[in-house]
Amino acid sequence: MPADAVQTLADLSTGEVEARLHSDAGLRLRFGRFVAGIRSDLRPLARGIETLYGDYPVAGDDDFCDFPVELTGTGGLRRFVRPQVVFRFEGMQPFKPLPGQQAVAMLEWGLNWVFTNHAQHYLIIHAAVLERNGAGLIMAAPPGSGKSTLCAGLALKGWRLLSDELALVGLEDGLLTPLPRPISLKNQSIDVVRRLPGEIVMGPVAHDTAKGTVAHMRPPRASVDAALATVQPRWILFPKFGAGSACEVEAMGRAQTFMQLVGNAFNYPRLGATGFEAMARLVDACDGYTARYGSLDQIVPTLEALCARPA
Amino acid sequence: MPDSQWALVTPDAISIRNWPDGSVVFNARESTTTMLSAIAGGVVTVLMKAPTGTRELSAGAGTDAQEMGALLSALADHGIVRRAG
Repeated sequence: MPADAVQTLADLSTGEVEARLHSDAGLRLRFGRFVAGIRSDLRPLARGIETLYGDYPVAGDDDFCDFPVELTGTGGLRRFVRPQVVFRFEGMQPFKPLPGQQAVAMLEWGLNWVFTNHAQHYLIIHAAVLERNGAGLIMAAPPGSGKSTLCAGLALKGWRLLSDELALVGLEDGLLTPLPRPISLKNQSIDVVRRLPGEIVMGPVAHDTAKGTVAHMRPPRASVDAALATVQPRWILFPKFGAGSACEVEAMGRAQTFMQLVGNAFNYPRLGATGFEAMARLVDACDGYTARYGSLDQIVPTLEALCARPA
Repeated sequence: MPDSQWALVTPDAISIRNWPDGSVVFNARESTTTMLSAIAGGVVTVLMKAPTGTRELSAGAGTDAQEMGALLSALADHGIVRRAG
């Protein structure tokens, strides 16, 4: 490998991945501007990480680690009967243990929690974020709205994935910072996405989670490679899937868009007037829409046409 | 009939953005965000500069004094404005 080439997880052997996961420093992966150090002794988790994060740059042990996390099995008889997994961040255990077969899902949920609670130099909105022709689309919606399925559908059509879960809006410049990570799919959405054309790699399927059946789709390589390139936000969409629904996209005024975004923002109250100004700048920079749809076949071409219009 | 003067309850804590579909007011002291009609947002914007009388506010908004009085009472109920004299 050339000296200046970026080493990715896929460049490591399975043994090297496990050794790093077992080390004090952990397996250090670059998520755009952030470095997470993952420690674990769980072999199935190692396989899941290899599947989902193969394209991610590996950081060295000497690189600063923003977020050290650890996933371990519980002790005692639990090692042998219905094993469980525990997530820790800097000694904190924010969640109750989960069944061992949910380890990959727990890593993803844990990282979401870490980024949401500790990246306070951004306005953080619960939203999928994609980029098309240099402009950003923010899709904000509560769980169950079909946001991740739509996100996967657009990513597989060539849109750049910035995040499936978190819009990170710069407090100073208003730009969107990418945090591309696996796309979380639930229940019927897993098969819907599996049937889409494109190169689809899924991680392990976790059954009987608090969210039902969960699987994660590996993000497109191009999105991971561009994870340092910030994006100017341009559109804000509030999508709502409804089985059998016709496709209806309607413009939304900026005041209404602002209030809807507040309802989806994690740290808006904590940021005070700074958050208000950041949200106002975001809303001023974007056109807002609501969208109801009944299938990806309806909404994806509609959004492609909408976002192809000149500003 | 004397003209009531109105002022913001916490003028230093108020930020506002006005858009055609309405206005959004942030109160830093209360940590509250409130959506207002465009007319109500215009009233808050005027009061951010100085306390103002009902008649002047209604003239500026193109409403009659009775409507403006009702609007100001509603804003007072929300803790945004108060009578200043």
